[in-house]
Amino acid sequence: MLHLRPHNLLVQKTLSEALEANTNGTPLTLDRIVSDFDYTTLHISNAPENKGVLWLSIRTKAWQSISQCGSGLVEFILTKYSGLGGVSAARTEPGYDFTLQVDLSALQPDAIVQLSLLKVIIMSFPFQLAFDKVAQLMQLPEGSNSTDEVHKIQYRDDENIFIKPSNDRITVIFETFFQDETDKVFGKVFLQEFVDARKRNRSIQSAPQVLFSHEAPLEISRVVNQGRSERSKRFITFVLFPRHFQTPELQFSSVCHLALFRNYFHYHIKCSKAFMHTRMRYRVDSFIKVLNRAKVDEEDDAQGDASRRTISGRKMVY
Amino acid sequence: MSYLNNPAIVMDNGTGLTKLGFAGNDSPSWIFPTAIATAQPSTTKKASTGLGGSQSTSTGGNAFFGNSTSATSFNDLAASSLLSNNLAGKRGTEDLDFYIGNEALAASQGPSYSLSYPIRHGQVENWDHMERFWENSIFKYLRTEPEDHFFLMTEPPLNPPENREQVAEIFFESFNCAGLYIAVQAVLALAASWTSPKVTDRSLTGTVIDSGDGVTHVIPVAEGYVIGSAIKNIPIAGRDITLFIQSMLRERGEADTSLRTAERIKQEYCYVCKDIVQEFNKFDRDPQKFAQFIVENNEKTSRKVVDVGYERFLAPEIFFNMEIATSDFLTPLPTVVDQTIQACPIDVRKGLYNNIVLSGGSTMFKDFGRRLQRDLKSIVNSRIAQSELLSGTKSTGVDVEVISHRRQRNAVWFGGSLLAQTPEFKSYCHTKKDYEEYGPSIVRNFSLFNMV
Repeated sequence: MLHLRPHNLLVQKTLSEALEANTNGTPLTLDRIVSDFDYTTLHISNAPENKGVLWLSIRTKAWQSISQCGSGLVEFILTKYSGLGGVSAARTEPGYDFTLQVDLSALQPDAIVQLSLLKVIIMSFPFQLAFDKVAQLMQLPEGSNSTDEVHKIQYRDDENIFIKPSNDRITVIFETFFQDETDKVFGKVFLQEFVDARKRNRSIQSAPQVLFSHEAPLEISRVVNQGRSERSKRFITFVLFPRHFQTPELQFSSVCHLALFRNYFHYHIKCSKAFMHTRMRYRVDSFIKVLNRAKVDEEDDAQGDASRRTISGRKMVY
Repeated sequence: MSYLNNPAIVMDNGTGLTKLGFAGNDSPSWIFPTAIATAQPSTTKKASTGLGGSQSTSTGGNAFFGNSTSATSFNDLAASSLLSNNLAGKRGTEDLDFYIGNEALAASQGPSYSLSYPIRHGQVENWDHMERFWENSIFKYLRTEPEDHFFLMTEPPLNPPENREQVAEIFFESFNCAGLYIAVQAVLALAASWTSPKVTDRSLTGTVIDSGDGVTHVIPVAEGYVIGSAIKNIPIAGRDITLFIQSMLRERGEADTSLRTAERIKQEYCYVCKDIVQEFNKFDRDPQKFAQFIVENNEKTSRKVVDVGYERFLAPEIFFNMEIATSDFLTPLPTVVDQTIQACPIDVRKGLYNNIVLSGGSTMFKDFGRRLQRDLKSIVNSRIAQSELLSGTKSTGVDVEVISHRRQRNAVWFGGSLLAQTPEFKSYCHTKKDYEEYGPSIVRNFSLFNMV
């Protein structure tokens, strides 16, 4: 179905193959580029001297803005991998933002999924900061428990994610921008549907509240640069309440869904277009059928026509 | 624009297998069957009755289906599920319920999905399925936003330009891809041969022998253009060889004669010999030549031993002596190659003899290239001798060179990866902007790569 998994299937596959080959005693020679959404490139290669050791490097557009959100990004990533045997930090490969060293002889198969989640883990850093901030603000007395802290993730050229923690909620705002006019129309319908679905459907009342607006919401009006392309921008807001990030598992699944929101959204737009195209092709085919039915039978030739008819006007059949 | 840093995506959709990957890699990231499993109409009908009874509309649709007088085929299941004109019946998400590749094969084992192969004989037959196949392979398997990447697609020789336009429509309108290049498979196979140390000049002139699972093509290419009138097909390829091995195993009454075993034997033990009679004698003198293949079941509980005998060299011999396996087609491969080149304009023939490139899994047999080269050389030399005899002048001679290289199995994809990683690649692509300016007909022409 349309579900996009948070982990990168290709990294998972490549690492599983490498692990299997290594246990069989024939380590693979790897130098692979793997891509992920939003200008993310991963590079899996052998360490220069030892084929049993792999380097997993990542370069992502969001890295710079995420590392400015707060200190300790690298430490944060490493704590996520600290429990896994065989995974350690390595000197960052030139051209990439971060490199992990994977020792295949010590790697557990379960750790592979965690490694293929690398991009999500990087994206989750500002969310984690926000979760911590909320916990901190909740302890403070009324009146002094507000903050203007807004984390901004610049994950694409024209699009950003804003995360604003406050004492009882986290507001996540996606700035969206469409290159294509058709996409814009589809996108508008979809975004409106996100807002309406919650109102209509009782079973999803526990989902985060969704708001959709043409102007930058007040929470982030301070940080949004009022650029030229402002008119075509749309803002979609998710309000996370403490029940969405109570436990680490909930936090993780919330972050996964939010980090993939844009890709999921665009995937859906593409799928609806494909569906429209299917309908259009079908429609064209049925019109062609109607046209074919309306076609007059080929007359053989003008003069022979009369002679080949019977007296009742029927055609002779030879 | 930052998409310039993203690797281009190379997609080679073949009849049997799809190869997907990123330019610059040495092998495709994903290789899976070009198959799509869609929800069967019976289950969608059930679903819609569950939702509130649109049974009448769907039966109405079927009645309409029965009355169809058009020659257009509506046999495929997706179309028949769409036949209901009532939009209210379309509230479900049947169109999203599908799997591709290996997942499709697994899903089709169950009752609720039906499998279909959208590509037949190298050409896309079912665009609805193909569009969904692409959508899933881009987002789910490659995890890329098509707006950020350039795409290199492949097409078979003699693909009608309408099909190219259809591809462009899907890629630019559905996916908004940044740029698109559609390359002919044979040309990419030629480019892949540049990795061989035997190749000195990187020319795009040569004869490509592309042998996959279903059919073998011999395609002459001159300066990057396919000489369409001279293309020849041989209806013998990998599958026939597998079946031949299977029949030999059955005749001997081996313990395991499944198609899978036959295929494994083909891949692991077969080779091309110089001379069948000598090889038979060698086998009879030296029992070491007979191999044993051990079949284990999934749980590794039972072991069956299968002897591998003469089929080691007899199976690939089919290409050179067709009569041992079939009576439909009897012209040996070297003769077909010779006829193909002879059907080309005289000024390119030398180049075509000079650079015969192998591509596809069924050309992977050991010494396949060497045998082909020897047989072809003898045909060419006897013709030269005869013409020298008749004309009384001395010929300058023709070099016959068959090039085999390590990337043969996925030669087309690899050639695509090689070309798409060059910095010039993006300037050869048609971009979304061009498409919007000129329309789909823009993809009828692509400028050729001139690699230095």
